[in-house]
Amino acid sequence: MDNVKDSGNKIYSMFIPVVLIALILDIFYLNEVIDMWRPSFCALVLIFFASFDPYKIKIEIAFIVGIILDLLIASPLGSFAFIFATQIFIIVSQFKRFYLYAIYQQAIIIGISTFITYAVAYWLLHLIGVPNYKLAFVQRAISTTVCWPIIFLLMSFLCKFFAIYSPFSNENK
Amino acid sequence: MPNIKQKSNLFIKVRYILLVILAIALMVADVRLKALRDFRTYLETALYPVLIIVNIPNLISQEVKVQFKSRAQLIEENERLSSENYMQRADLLRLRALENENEAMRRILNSPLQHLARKIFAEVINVDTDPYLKRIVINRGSSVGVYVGMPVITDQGLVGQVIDTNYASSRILLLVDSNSSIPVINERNNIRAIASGTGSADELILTNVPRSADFQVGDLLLSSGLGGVYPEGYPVAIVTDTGFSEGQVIDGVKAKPIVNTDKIKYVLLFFYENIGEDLDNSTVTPKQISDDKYILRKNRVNELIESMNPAQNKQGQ
Repeated sequence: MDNVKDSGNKIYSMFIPVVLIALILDIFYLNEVIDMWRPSFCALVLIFFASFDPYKIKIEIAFIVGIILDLLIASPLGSFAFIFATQIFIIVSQFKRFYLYAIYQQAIIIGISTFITYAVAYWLLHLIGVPNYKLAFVQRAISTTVCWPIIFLLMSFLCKFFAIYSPFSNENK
Repeated sequence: MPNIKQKSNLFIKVRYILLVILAIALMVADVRLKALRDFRTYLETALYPVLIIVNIPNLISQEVKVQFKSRAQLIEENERLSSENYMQRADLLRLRALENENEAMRRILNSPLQHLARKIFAEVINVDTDPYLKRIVINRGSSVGVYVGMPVITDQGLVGQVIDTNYASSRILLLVDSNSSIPVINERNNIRAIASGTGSADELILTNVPRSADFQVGDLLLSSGLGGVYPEGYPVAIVTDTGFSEGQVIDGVKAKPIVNTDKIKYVLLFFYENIGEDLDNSTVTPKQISDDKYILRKNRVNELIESMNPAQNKQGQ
């Protein structure tokens, strides 16, 4: 227990700016053709931090980030909140040591969870009465999977650089 | 450590279920009940700086593009623009004369006058990235009088209407959004139709067009002004496909919007509601007694009554 490095609330000082940048990347204007393939940066960043330290970045935080994204892109309030909360819930509750998995395993899990979550959200929104005619979430799930290794390595590097440690980092040894 | 883990992720399923219920409640309240309108307006106004930050890379790329233009390109562009300007000035002279003539004609016919409405110039600062929505955000809001339902145009044609205003920004529903429909009229033969968005940036569908309706590829569709939201006579789309097939009662006419919504940088907001106010205040007076036709008609009626009266009198006698 003594060897456990607790980085305290330092993780928030990195989490908040990174999420802001991810939000900007999520709403940054892209051409329609490329836009369909835009990965969900916010979800990737949230998944990283939730797997990195599930005791600090919880599903409630993912929910709030989702609400902010809903407000920024004018989608029905609660839709992205639902998507992010569900993704984090799947990762945190079903894959308890997600951070320690091989990157390809993580990418596959993220791809599948993204696809399922978007499909459920699509169905839910359809029930509520939002007309959706496109199935762009398939492309989004693929691009999100492909982008995960980059985000994971980048975030891991940043965490090391700012000396933020995961509670799992000791278990690995 | 295990204690901490168990404690921190305690009741995660309960917490998740509560959040899902909250999310569904928010979605229903927002989409079905429209109960969160004010809440959204305040929060979106607070988040306006984020939209500005998001637009910075776009501004930089535009600036870089301008800076890297060669001298030859600039000279060429300048020449083209000045010649265009010259031609348009010449056209404008004729336009004023035509406007005066039109006004005079309308007065003669006692039709309501159409005044040119005030317009506001606005810059596109963000495009909603949700693949299901075709909306853009502009940098003008309720602080300069932008209102919901305001038609939006560019130099090429109609773009859409304002659906949401904040203090400093507004959201525009583009014509190609699947929630958008606009009454149009075929320029060639004045056939009316409704053009609905499909969610795709380069396609509009004309709904419920009978097969007998004369739509041909290349026909220009103008806004008809019916419905009172969009002004009359602005170009909307060009027919690209008439989709004629045997055995179908209704024709599937497709059209391509004239304005490329992917490339819009600046828009004009049209104070169309004011036209209605002007109409009420305009001096469209009822026909005066001095009107020749009126006097003539009255005289004829009087003559008719007089010619009938003696006959009745004779019969009575």
